[in-house]
Amino acid sequence: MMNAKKILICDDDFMTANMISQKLQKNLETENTIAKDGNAALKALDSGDYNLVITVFQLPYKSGYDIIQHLKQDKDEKTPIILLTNGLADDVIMNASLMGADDFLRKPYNSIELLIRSRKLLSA
Amino acid sequence: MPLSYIWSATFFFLIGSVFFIINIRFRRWMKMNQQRKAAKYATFIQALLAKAIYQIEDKIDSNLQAIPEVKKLMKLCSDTTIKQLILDELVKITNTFEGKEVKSVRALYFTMKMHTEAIRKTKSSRIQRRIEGIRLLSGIRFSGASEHFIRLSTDSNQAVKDVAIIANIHYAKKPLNFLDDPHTKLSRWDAINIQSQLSKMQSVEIPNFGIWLDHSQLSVVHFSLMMIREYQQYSALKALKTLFRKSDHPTTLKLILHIIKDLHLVEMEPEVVAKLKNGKNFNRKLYVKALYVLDAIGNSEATKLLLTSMPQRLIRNRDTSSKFIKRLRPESEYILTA
Repeated sequence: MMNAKKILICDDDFMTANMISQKLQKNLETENTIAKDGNAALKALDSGDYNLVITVFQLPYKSGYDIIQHLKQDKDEKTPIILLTNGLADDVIMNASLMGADDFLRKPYNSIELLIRSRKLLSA
Repeated sequence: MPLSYIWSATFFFLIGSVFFIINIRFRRWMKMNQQRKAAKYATFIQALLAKAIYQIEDKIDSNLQAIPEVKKLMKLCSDTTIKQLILDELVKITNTFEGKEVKSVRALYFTMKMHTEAIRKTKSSRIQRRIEGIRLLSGIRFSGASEHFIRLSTDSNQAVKDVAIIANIHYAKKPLNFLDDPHTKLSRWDAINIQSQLSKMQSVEIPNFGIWLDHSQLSVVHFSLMMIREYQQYSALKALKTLFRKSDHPTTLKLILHIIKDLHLVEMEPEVVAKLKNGKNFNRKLYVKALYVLDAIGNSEATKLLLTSMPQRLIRNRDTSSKFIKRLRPESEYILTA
């Protein structure tokens, strides 16, 4: 997997993160890192280059806004972000989108949808 | 009282207290141990489950027990704490994902015979266990769970009853099939609970509540009448007519009169007139209500006739009735002047 794309999955629920990771690895042959909280996510973003970030909005210590702001505004990177939402209000999703989130997926997640969106953003 | 009695009582009390404290401590220690074990194995189980689910996805029609990850999970299930952990994770996945993953989770759930564990919990004497059993059955959307929800919807504990009713509304093919049971009784709280759950669900098929109007429990009949009014079920007309004819319960009659007025059921007019003519069926309030309903659905002549030929025992209330109708429908004054 020399040219495997790198994905950072930020979710405090390790089961969900693991499921997403397995799915992406199996179908897109990506190299995935899991961050269990907001601080670990920011640390991972600082120490490595990722081709895609998949994050839930509510993370321990930091919110989805913090992750987007850190990546898009502070680091000024073009790394695409998919936001996983759990019954969030439309205006929160809209704000996240204005801040730079590239796509979002509502719970319950459809893994095929996630695969299609990830593939699209990875090839962009 | 002899001193020896006091000493004996003190001794037994002390021994009892010591046993009681040891029992509490032991239970707490057991619980903490279970939590520690669950935390220790969580990451390992989650990773194993994720692998197993994607293995199953490709081999869903084959013998799942032959998959190494499934084999490992089944072996781990001999420990009750880990079994509970796996069950919880399976339910969580069902709520988090949709599509292929959920299909795989269900297949795994049945291969590992997890439903028997959940059913066993619903039969426990402990309230929390019964609730947990319902959660585990509904969480996985187990199609055979409805019979257990129905059984628990008549549970003596209100919390268990509430959870069973909610689970049945959400996951059973017929959301209110527990009303078919002639022993089902509904409290005012149950009625509010069901009504609120039904209104929250967009996709649920609202049944014809007319089918429960001949239920042996009056509380179910009253609830059905409220729902007929709420969902404006004209299809219940035939059952309404039958009930109105044979019932003499004031609340039942009052609820039917409300429906007649709200749904403008002119077809019910002969039944109301017949009931009014036989003054024995109605008390004063109901008599006035029925007159008002008749007037509201447009039968002024009948109202006039009935008001002027009010039964002897109600004649004292004629003035009240007249005032009532006049207040609600000023244009009906001509009836009263007749």
